[in-house]
Formats: sequence, C-alpha cells, structure tokens
Amino acid sequence: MDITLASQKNGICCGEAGPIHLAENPVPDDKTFYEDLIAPIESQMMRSIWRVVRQSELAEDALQDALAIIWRKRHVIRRHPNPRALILKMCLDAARDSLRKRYRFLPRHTASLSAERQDIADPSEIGRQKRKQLEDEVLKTIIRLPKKQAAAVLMRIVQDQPYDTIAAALGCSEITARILVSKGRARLGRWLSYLRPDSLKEGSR
Amino acid sequence: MDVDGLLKNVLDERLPAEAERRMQGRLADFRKRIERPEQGRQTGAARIWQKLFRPEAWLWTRWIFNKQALVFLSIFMLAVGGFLQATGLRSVVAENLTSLRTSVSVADSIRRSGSMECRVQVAAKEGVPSDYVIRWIQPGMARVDVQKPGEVRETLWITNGDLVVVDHLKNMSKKLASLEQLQHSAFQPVMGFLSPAKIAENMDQRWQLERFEQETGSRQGTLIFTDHEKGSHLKMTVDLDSYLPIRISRLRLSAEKGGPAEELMRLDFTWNQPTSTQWMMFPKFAGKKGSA
Repeated sequence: MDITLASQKNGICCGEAGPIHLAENPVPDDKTFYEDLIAPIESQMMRSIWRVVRQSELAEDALQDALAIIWRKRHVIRRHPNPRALILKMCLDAARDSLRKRYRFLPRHTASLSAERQDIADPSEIGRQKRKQLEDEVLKTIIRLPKKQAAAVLMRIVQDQPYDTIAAALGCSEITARILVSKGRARLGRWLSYLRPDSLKEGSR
Repeated sequence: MDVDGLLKNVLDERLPAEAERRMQGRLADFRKRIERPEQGRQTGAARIWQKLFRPEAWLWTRWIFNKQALVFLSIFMLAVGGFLQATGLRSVVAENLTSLRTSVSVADSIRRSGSMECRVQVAAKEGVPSDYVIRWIQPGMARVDVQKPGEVRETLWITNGDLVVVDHLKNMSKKLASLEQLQHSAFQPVMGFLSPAKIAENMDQRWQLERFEQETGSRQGTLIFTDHEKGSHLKMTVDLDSYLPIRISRLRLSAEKGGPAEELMRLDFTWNQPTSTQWMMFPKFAGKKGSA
C-alpha cells in the first residue's frame, strides 16, 4: 500500500519509517483533542479497523490514514453532535478504503492462496485456511457495497451501534440510516447466498 | 442465511497482539505529535502558507455549501424570478440581444433578396419635394428614377458596375466612373440605398442600433438606428415573417428634448415582386452623350 501518497493527501507525513509531522502547529484546543475524544475510544477504534481489514500491517496503515483524516477534520468533529460516532465512522471508512486498495492491487494468484493449500494434512490448518477463505469472501462483498451503505452496515451489525448514532455519524436521518442498513443487509444476503451452510459451520470453528 | 450472524462470526473482534502493538504505536506517535509539536521546523513562507490555508481560516465558507443555505437561496431565486415575471420587467441584456439578433437577421435577408422596388419621398427642399423610385432588378442591376411632381427628370442605371445617368429634360446621357461622382447630384439623398449590400453594410457599420420595439401580438417590429454622420435617426419597420424592411423613415429629432421628430425622408419597400428587364433599356434619346 502506498502509505506516503495517502498520507500526503491528508496533509500528514507518515509511514513505516517516518514519524508523523502535523500539518500545522496545534492551538491549545488541539492539545486536549486526543484526551477528550480519541483516548476514550482508542480500543474501539483499533477493534473497528481490525474487524474490517484483518491484517496487522493493513490495520496499522488504515489507522494511520484514519488519524490523518480525523486530525484534518478535527474542527468538524468538535462541533459534531456525536463526535465519537463520527470518529468510529471515519475509522471504518479508512479501513474499507485500505481493504479496497488491497484487493485492487493484490495479484490474483495470491488472492486465492488459501484455496490452493487444501492438501495440507493438518486438520486444524485446513480449518484455518477455510476460515481465511470465508473471511476473504465476506470482505470482498463488503467492499462491493456503496460507501455509506457499508458504513451503516458495519456500524449496525458489527459494532452494534444504535440507529440514531449511525444517523448522526452519516449525517442523515434515522429513517435513512435504517434504509441503508436494510438495503446493505439484503445485498450482502444476496451476494453471500452461494455460501453453503456447512462451509459456514466449518469456517466458524 | 443469517447475514448478521455470519458477519459477527467471521469479523470477530479478537485483536491479535501483533496488530494491537502496531496500532498502539501509531496512536502513541500521533498523541506525542499533538501534545508536543516540533517548533521552528518550517520556513517563514511555509508558515504563511499554512496560516492562510489552515482549515479553520476557511470555516466561514462552509455556510455557502450548507444544505439549508442552498435551499434558502433556491427559494429566494425562484421568488425573485416570479416577481420579475409578474412585474413584467425585462432584462436589458435580453432586450439588447433580441435587438441585435433582429438587426442581423434583417441585414442577412436584405443581402439575400432577389429584387425590390422602393418609393422614396424626400421632404421638400426649397419648396420642391422630390420623389425617387429605386428598383433592384437582379443582383448588380438597379435603376433609380428622380421624379419632381408629375415627371421623371433623371434616371440612374447601374449594370454590373457601369453607371449611366440620363437627364430626361436635356435628352443627355452621361457615363460615370464611380458612385462618388453622384455626391452633389439629385441622387445624393438615396446614395445609401442603391444596392442590398449597401443597406446591409450601413446597418452593420454606419448606423448604430439603439433598440428594437415590438407590440404584443404584432408581426411587425421597429428597429431604431442612429446615423451619426447625418445627425438623424432611422426608424425601420420590419416584417417579422420575412425579416425584410417595410418602411424606413429618416428623422431629425427636434432640439427640444421629447419634441416631435421631423421626417426627412421615407422609403416604402416592396420585396421580391416579379420585375421586367425592360426597366434596364435605355430610352431612344440616350444616344446623345455628354462627358463624364
């Protein structure tokens, strides 16, 4: 993933090797920004990203991108009626974007790597491979959803957020949030309907 | 299939230690940078640039794209549009464009016209009024008769660049080298109307378009021009079906503002009627030639 490009776009210089350079010097309000808004939901942010990307390096990059966006939009976040929901939504968006890039640039043979290794003798290894394959299928369908629909579905189904929080984070009415979740859920059901129940059972072990 | 169950199961939130360690590192780095920013790293120009383009400096612009502001603006513009429509106020720009478009269409129609007969009445000068009849028979061929009450006095023939003037009273004909030689003759008042191209050229270059007037429901309109060279106004009545002039009146405005305009000349046009080339035949006395 091109960390430098993503980060430069967001006004922050980052990456594996380089430290974060803030685009501007923080004003006193900014100094308490982390303590007020990010620190209480640090763990939630990390888990939200992890649940979507499911890869250490990618999760790190996604968090970096999310932090860049959060910092850039900190004035909007401060004025938002539900800043924490907005931050979590930004994390999910960044995670989804990272995932999209990963699937776009990943060569086809590596994408189906898990499927080629089914001749492994160890039953636990086979189970792990099958689960990995199932994860891939689910993640691929999630990134096919439109951005708002994906955010609504992930906030509702994966994070168990109430509809009013989802609506506040997406900047829409509660009814719209319900419609987005419902449509997203229906699409996912249709796209994943080919998965047999037995593969689900094996994958969930 | 239970989608919720599948997603919750597959996308479980058990965060591996490796991923947690990496992400914690990023958060710690971010926090450090916020709470202890590095001072003096940037040059003066970079600081100015960043001050100018920092997000909070441009927060005021957000109200422009605010949904409520856009809705309000749309309603306001609709209301203003309705008000203007109701009051019947017309746009100056739209009116100018209509005038210009009509003028260009008329000039174009005149250029394309095949034949024309025009009767010209010039206001009495020294007690004797003059009448003219201008006939464009076909492109490049025209005949102009000067009439004093009751008789034709002089005739000008224009045939593919050849100019011949016949004086019927003296039974003399005279060949002219160019139209400039007519400047001080009896034909001088109608010099601007001797060919379609000449009228169109005057409309485009010499006469300044002032406005276009049209009565509601009428198929006729009036173009008003100013002829600065002759210090007069031209009122051209146009048929809006053919875009050809029906009448042109040359007016001299009175010295008093708003006073009655004095009509100096009036031209009544008949367009594209069948014409005979016998109009171009010289009379028999034309054999007696004068010098150019």
